[in-house]
Amino acid sequence: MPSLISPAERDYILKGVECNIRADGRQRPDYREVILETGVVSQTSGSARVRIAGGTDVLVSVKAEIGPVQVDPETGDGADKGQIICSVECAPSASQQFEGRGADDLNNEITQMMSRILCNNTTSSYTSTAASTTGSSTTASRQSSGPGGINLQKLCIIPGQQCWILYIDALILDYGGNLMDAIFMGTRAAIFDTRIPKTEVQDLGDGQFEFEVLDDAEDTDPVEGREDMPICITLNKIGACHIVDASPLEELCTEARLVVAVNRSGQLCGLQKGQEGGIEPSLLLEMIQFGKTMGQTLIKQLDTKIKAEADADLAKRQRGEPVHKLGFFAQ
Amino acid sequence: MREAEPSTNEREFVLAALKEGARIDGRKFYDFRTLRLSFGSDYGAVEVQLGNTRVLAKVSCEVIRPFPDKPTEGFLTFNTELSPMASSAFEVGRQTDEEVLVSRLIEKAMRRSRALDTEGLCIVAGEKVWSIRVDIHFLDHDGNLVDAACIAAITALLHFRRPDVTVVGEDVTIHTLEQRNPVPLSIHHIPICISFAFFDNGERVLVDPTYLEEQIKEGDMTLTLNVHKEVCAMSKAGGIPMELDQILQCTKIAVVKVTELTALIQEALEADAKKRQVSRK
Amino acid sequence: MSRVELLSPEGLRIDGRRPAELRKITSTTAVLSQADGSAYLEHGNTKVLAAVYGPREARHRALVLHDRAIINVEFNVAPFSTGERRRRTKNDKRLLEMASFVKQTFEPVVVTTLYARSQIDIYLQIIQHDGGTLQACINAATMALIDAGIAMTDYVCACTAGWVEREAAIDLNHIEESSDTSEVTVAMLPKSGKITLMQMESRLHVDKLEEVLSLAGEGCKQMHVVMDKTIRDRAEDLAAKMAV
Repeated sequence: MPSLISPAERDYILKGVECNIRADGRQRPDYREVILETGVVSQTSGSARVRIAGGTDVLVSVKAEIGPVQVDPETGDGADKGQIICSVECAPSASQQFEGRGADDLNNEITQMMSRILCNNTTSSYTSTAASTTGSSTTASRQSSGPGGINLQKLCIIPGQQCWILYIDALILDYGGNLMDAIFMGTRAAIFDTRIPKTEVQDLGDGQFEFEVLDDAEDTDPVEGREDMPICITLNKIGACHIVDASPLEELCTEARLVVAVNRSGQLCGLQKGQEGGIEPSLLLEMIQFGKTMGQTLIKQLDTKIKAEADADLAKRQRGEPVHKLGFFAQ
Repeated sequence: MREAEPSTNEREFVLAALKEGARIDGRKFYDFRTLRLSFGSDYGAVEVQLGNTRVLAKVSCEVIRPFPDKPTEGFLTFNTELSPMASSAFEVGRQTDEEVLVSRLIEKAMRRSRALDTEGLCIVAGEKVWSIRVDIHFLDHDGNLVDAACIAAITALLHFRRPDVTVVGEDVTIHTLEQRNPVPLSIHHIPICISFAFFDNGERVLVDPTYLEEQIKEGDMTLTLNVHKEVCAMSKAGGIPMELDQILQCTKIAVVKVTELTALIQEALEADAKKRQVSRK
Repeated sequence: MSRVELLSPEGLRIDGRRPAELRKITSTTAVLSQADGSAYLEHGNTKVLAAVYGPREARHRALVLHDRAIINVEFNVAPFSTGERRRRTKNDKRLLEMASFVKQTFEPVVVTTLYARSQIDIYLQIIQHDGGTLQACINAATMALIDAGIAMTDYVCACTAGWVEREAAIDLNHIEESSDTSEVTVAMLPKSGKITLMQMESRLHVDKLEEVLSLAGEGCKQMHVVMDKTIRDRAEDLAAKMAV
């Protein structure tokens, strides 16, 4: 990530955005080409790799493991719910600044953002109250599905004792701007790809339960509620206009950044403003609206592609052909 | 703090002497420095002097719960800290590269080679096991810390006596040293590390380099063997590339050295045992 | 733990290979956009990504050497790389040791005197771990360094070898590693046949050592052929593009 930008470059980008011509020839609402592939890491329950042309490379994996249920001491909530634990790591290969402890701040910021949107996180923060005031939102944490849309109750095995914990790990391998969008797209694809083994619960009576994990590779459940998972669109305000999918140089020019998380029904799932600049209220509403429409279109396109890939894979497996994943060999 | 590099004069002198077949301190290429072992009054305290390099090892034990997935295995932990007392190049709290390598080598030599029988440390399966802790302190650094530390650690473990334990059903009594004689640990074999230093494009091979020789060396290798001619660990990282035959030659030298050193250690332990018996009488 | 039969009576290993057979190796270079050189290596199921930045200005002025470049290696293990999800802290001694080994392996091979007062960074990312990580990392790092255009005297090819039950075998996978077999990792310079790195952690009798080491040397030569092919293909590709 270039951490310096000259005044000449800044001016060039600013003027370009005003005239609706960006540095790489795109227009303001244009997205770069995205390459997505699921099932790249074999030892996980689900995985996906997202590459945005221009450099950003993110690998997301979902691992389902069994663990004790976590009960919230204040509300008594959570005894019948599974858990989702997110973590984001920037590999030092992504950029010069991420060596050693340099990536810690960025890791924490993105992890927090993911947790707020995907998990049943009841910690109240400035941003979640902002979301609840800006129109219809589903941040109510008393529903059986968290704000991330995933049905946590289905992840519970034995109420009060054991549940499935989904560990969502994102690894940023290369930086080319627009990390948040890539991570969320990858997470959505990875969750679509995730298969959780079925469990058999035996009631031994007296409140004692025993469960067994069925080890059948074919007989697995997909994650419930995954269609309602939100993705996010990052809008960067440069000058008086806003752009989508910023490249690293454009990110350095942004005065204010708005991350809009929206799900397929158009509901706003999360909102976060970053950087030091300010946004006028009228522009803010326009940006949110734009983000919502763009998000919904993106979700539709993502879903068709993911479904097509899954169908193709299934057809191949039924024919007995091995399924080859390109992984890093995709150009 | 960066250690001062040897001057060009010193460097050339050492290399010229090696070409003529002599080492600075008069030893032959494959000679170890004089090894002196002194035991403390407690069981399990040993100080090793290898020339000017001094290392102190102290073994202690306590009873703790085992890991749930390994209910019959005890614990063996090594704690090495290179303090600035040994050399001004080491700093408190910061882990240098050398420290990582030294501690990992000792762990590999002792723990991975299964020198100590951890199953024999079990008292009550799933509840109480012995945890043996070896603290290694480096007092003076004059080259070849690894060998000295390894000798110190294994001698301390051989010297150590743990309190005797009787288990009657659920009742566990740990006898103090007055009540019953303490019991030695069950050690399968004695791994000894031998470090080599390479000079002159790999032509000259030295055993047990001093600090000065270590700073000038072109490459190094550490072999850990025991008397039964088994290689427990081998580590050659970087430095000048060596031919396979040269490495096999070093293994032959190491076998001879290990037999010598093991004999020395056994002698010292027996001498100490006799001394203790005499003093008890 | 049940005793797994590592070597069948016919001489086939647990994954169907012969003792002197390497796993399937695929590799590609120039996968990352920000790094000066990068390589991705798949050695069976072990997947490693190497990125090289450099030579560039050193981060810590105190470490700068006046006549040569310093090499800095950092390891990163993904939490999903092993069968059980496990988060490794950056200061894990094992990782620090491996990083130190990689650094020491490349110091004599990279012509550091050409890049005085600068720093060459090698970042290794382990995406999936199925035995033989150190060898895969060294091989990936070699290709990434070549891709970055950093001057080296020779390739560094690494291979593991061990004594599996009755025979010496090369390229051990995870199951063979975790059972009580002795394993040696050897890194070799193919032109001269000399060994730069040799690492062993388990017990092996001296008499068997020679056989295991020479077999590892053979394995390294095979690795060299594979790596060389990838680099040459890429170079031809680039030359063809430039010619247009």
